[in-house]
Amino acid sequence: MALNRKIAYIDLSTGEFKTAPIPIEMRELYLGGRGLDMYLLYNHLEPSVDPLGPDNVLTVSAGLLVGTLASASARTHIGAKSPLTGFLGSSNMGGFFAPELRWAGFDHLVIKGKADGPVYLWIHDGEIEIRDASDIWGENVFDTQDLIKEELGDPEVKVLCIGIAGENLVRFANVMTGMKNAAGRSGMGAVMGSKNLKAIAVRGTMDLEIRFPEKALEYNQKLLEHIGSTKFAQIMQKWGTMFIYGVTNTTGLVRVRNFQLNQQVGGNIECEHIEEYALGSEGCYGCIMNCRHKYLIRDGPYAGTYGEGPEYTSQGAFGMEVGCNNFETVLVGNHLVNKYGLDTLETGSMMAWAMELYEVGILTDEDTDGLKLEWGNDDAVLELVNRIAERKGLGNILAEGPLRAAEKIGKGSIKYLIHVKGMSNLHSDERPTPSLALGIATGSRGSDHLRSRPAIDLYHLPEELLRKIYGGPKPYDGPLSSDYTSYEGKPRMVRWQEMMYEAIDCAGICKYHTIFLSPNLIAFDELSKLIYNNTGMEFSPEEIWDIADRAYTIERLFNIREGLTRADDWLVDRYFDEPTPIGLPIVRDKCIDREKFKQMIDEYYEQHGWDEDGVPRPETLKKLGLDGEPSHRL
Amino acid sequence: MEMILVVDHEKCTGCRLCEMVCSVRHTGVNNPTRSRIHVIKWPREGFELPMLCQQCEEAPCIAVCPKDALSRDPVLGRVMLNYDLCIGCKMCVIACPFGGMGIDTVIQQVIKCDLCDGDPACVRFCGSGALQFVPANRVNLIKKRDAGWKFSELMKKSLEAKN
Amino acid sequence: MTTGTRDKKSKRIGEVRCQNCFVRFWPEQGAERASCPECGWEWYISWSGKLAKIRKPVWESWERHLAEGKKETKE
Ligand code: SF4
Ligand code: SF4
Ligand code: SF4
Ligand SMILES: [Zn+2]
Repeated sequence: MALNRKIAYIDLSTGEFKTAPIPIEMRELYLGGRGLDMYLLYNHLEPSVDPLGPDNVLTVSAGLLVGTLASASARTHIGAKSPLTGFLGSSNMGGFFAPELRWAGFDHLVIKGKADGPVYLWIHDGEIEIRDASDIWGENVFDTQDLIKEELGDPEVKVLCIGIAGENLVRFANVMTGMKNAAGRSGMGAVMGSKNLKAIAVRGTMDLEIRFPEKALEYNQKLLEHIGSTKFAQIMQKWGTMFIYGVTNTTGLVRVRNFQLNQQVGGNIECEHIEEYALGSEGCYGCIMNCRHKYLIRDGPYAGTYGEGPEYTSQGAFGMEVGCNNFETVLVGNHLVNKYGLDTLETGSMMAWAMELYEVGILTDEDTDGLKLEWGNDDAVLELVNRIAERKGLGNILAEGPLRAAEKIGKGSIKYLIHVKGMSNLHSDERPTPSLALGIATGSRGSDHLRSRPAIDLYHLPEELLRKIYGGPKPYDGPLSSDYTSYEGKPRMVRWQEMMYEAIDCAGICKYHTIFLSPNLIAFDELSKLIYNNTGMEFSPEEIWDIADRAYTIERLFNIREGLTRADDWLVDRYFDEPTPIGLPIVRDKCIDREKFKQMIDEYYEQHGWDEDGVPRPETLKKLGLDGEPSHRL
Repeated sequence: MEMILVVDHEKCTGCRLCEMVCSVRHTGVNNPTRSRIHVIKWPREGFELPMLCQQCEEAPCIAVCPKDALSRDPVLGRVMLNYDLCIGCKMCVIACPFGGMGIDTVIQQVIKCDLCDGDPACVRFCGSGALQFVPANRVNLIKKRDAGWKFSELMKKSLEAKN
Repeated sequence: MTTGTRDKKSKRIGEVRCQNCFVRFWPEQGAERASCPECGWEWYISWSGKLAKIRKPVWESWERHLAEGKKETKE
């Protein structure tokens, strides 16, 4: 059944591997996917190792419900120590890799060591082979996948791989599958590159049993009908995540020119432009949301470019952040980062930062080798992407990620960085929205909107509805506020979303199907039913919360072991000192209040059962059964 | 009334939900190799096409079956496989021009779409409308209406451009 | 019924929500622009069949709205 998938430990240095079943007790503690990955990392990684050295451990996994009748149950999770932040690295991707991994008999891969030369893993129906990849080293993401399929003689093989950015150890290189699915954040591609691991190819034909097939079909159909009936789903199906730009730019909640502005006035890169280029939409495995477009650029210098996407982050990275206002640049930029295997978000932020440095004179034409890094210079932006991936000139410095690059450049460049824990922030502006700001400041993988963002806070929902959502499954009767500029009750929202996203990542379901951008979608109750129908395991919503809490706390323990302190859960000064200059009246003249923000963090820690330094209290660890970790049960 | 399952490849998003539910409905497990429908993809071009049995009128699979295990079911408009008669020779697999006949290696039998006895699961779940189960004599009218709508949109645009 | 969105009935489909004052309103089907009946701010609307969505502000009248907004808050 879905629960009999195995774990494989693969040592690339020796070429040895072993497989083991996953005991049901471990499922009961961590479900699978991100949760179990976190346990594995905490147990298999020695503290303080070099993230780009052979001692780093890379985990690749499929969530508990992947390939079952849930909704968009397609997620692969990838974990390691992050070469970008030095803390936890964790990233998640859709596509078709994870179900194939399960059909091949595995749920978790724990990859250690470093191969002598380029290799790829070939995993099929319970077998694992380490194969030579010297011929494909140096190939881009798309060609790599094609070449491997060709070599293995099966177009149905699914490949997860790195591009040249990962090979060149760009610290924010991603791992890709298909044309655009990316495990983007925290530099997992560089970890693969450092291990000489170019790709993992999988193909499986093994049954994945559904515990109660009829019930699962029936429940699933109702659930999908419900999801499909929401306005959110219909907007996603039509426009994809680019619709977010429309909403947030209209209000004044986007980051423009590296934090100089919070609105792109006259912005002309909204999602509707995709209609000129779109061939249709594309979904991940089992998903009815089909949030990405298939697009073709028909003429101009990039004629013939086919790609999938773009996303909100592409609009940020190749639009408002770098001062560009040309939709085609967004499309081309998206294509480039996917081809090279770069994290769009980090790439865009690094470029925007460099452009601000150029504007204030910290970087000169000499540093940029003549590249005019002026706001809105589309060609320079696209050229800079090439240089980052190839580590040429200034690109070589930017490829080191925010903090290391700032150290290399010096001259006070660090105070222009927009980051948390050495990871760049999403291209949104959180100054008017304390809840969103708290989320990025505390996220366990560094600045992040997918760890805990209560995005529905932006919708001004009535308090009764907020109470219905955030009041359970563990009781909460503190304040909740419909006003997104308020500080009231926001720590609860962040904590709740944190638990919900963690649970969903353990299950391997896509966040767009949950209470993320719509208040009407899946959360703990539905998850409990989905797990039961598909696997037969019984968990109440409260128990799922506890599992998520356990997994999130082990992430915290991991970070603390790597030296994280309370000071790392904080925003850069610009959030507190520079008020938002423009936007709708509701978001104007806003910045985060230091004192109130500090109180929010206190409250957030308190709700977690962590002390004032952010360290889980002994009784919290005991309650979650973490007092004996690392326990080496797997 | 005879119904047919029509595919509109332009709408297909390649999600493979149809494969999943087909497999689960018929076998209780999710194993795409045991599904009766497969979404064939060319990822570099963004082209995907769900392929399944076309329920042929002059079906080659019926013609080559030495045991008359295959026959047309005029009520549901499908080609039916009688497992009591089938000897597993796989001649039908060779004869079918579309890959409509498959082999389930777990139960060692040939398999084909049975239109889920008149309530196709794949159609019920397909979120994009790429799969439709419609009266056979209305198929082209539906296509005409879709094409007509596109035409009218284009006309509107060209009129707007003129004004 | 399929899980598809065809023929989905949801009263919110043709409705948009003013991003300035959060009032919900129904733009005329197919209209390229619409003004909020409550606060008067003007928005470009985009359509996908009957599905309405605010596309962006009418930037041309943006400054005027902002100036008016300022006046009101002062009063
Ligand atoms: S369910 Fe529909 S959209 Fe998804 S792959 Fe099948 S035919 Fe295409
Ligand atoms: S199996 Fe093939 S030959 Fe037989 S009816 Fe179906 S499509 Fe026609
Ligand atoms: S109609 Fe039924 S048997 Fe045929 S492809 Fe669809 S789900 Fe499978
Ligand atoms: Zn209004």
